[in-house]
Amino acid sequence: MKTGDGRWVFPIAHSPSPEVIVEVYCPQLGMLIGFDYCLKAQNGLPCSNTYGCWKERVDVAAVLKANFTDEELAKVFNTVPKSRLERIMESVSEAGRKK
Amino acid sequence: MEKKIFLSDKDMPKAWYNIQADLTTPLPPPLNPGTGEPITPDMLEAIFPMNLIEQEVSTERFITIPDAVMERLLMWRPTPLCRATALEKLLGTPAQIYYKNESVSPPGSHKPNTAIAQVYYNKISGVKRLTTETGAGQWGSALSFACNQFGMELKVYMVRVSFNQKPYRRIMMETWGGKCVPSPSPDTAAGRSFLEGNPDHPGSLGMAISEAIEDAVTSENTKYSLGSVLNHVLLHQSVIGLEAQKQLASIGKYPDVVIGCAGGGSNFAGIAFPFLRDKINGKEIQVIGSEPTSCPSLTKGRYVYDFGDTAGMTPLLPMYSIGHKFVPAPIHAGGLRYHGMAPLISRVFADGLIEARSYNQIETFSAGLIFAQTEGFIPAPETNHAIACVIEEAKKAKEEGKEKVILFNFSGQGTIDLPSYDAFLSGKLQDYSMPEGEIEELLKELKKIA
Repeated sequence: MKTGDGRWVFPIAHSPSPEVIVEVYCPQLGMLIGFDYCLKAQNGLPCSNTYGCWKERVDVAAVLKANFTDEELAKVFNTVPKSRLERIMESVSEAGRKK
Repeated sequence: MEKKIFLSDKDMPKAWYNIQADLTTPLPPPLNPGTGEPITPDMLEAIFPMNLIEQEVSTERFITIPDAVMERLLMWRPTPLCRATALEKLLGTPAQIYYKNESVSPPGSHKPNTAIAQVYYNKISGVKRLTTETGAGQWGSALSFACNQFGMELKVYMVRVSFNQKPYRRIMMETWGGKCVPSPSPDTAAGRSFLEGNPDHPGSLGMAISEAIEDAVTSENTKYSLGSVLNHVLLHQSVIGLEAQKQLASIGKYPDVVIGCAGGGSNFAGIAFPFLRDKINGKEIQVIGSEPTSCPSLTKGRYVYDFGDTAGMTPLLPMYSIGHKFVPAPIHAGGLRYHGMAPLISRVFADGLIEARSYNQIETFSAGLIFAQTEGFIPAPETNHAIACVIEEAKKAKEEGKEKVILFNFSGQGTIDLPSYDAFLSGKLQDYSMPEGEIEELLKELKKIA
């Protein structure tokens, strides 16, 4: 932030609750995204990048534990996110079944 | 001293460079974990034309750029190679900083280099219509531009949250004749299933991919197009580095360091791969991929050939990951698990041909601001990762007293991403204290110069 004397200052942010509208630049979507979106990005479950993107601003672990079951968290964080081609091939198989 | 180095149209490279011809270790094929067998070209034929699949697996070193593609690329290519003299002055570095300005294309990024080629190859294969997904819209707008050039119909599934927040990208797509719908949409079975649960669903990239693929697989004369990750995409981007080589040679220079931002890998590969060919052949050159700390695919990952989920049911490319058996201590590894890097980039990293650095969003937006206030161009947010690395390298050159030549890819302009800059300038993105930080010092210096 630019202060009155023209200096640039980067204050430490306090951990907001999930309802607080604070944004980060999402490297996957290429746009500003709020914490609430990241918490529900995968069909209601958190994006697997939530920790990496928000850890400097939010007590991510506490928020996740308060909002999701251990099983849900394990589903997101104990699996490797799918690569783009994995998602594509999975979608091809899925679409082929619908055809 | 020249500020800009141009190539004439006739000096435009006539062929793309395929690094697969020069890899000491060939790229292993993606595997289908159901069978353990490689994914075959015919499996990809459901969504890609065979001529692009052939490029995907080709080991031919140079592939001729067709005349019809060349004709379109010449609309903005060869792009200028610019010397960042004002940035050099601000940094007080003995380094010479050059950037390949890919922001001069009609959609404002490097993306149309492959969009034009992909649409052409689909067109000559008899394809009448393409589908794709887009996050923030950079790829969707590039493909829309390219489809317009060849009279191809296009439907873009844009993640709804982005569709609502970034109307200018949608307008660009529609200006070039593409159809852009928010995803999830009612137009596909996948989209309808997501909307049933939540009519206001904000969408995700995964959902948009599902919709675009379903559309391509279930519609007549329709294929799918992807703007990153795949080998043929990286091949088409090689024109960036090939031009830069000619431009630097014309002024008797050769880079000591080549830098690009590495997200899906296409713009990094574009600037880097032609120089990696030199490195493979003995040239001393440092090549750096710059990525976000939140998704450090290269800097924190390791090269694995592993299944993509705990059940081992999805095919997986050899990429950097921490492996599916890894169990993080409660929740700490989310950001280390991003899985979007191009396999060819992962390969050259594993071979030690490139190195990787990561920067947080404050560092990158600060770097982008410095660039905008020196060289004038407002960079795309992803381009800022490269600029952060350039600044670090230029300062290192100053400390070492070395007159290094630094080359980087200015992959796109950021005028459609101004809300991100607004968030940065208003303090909404700031996440930690940097009162004594180097970036702040540079900004103070900038004020003195201004």
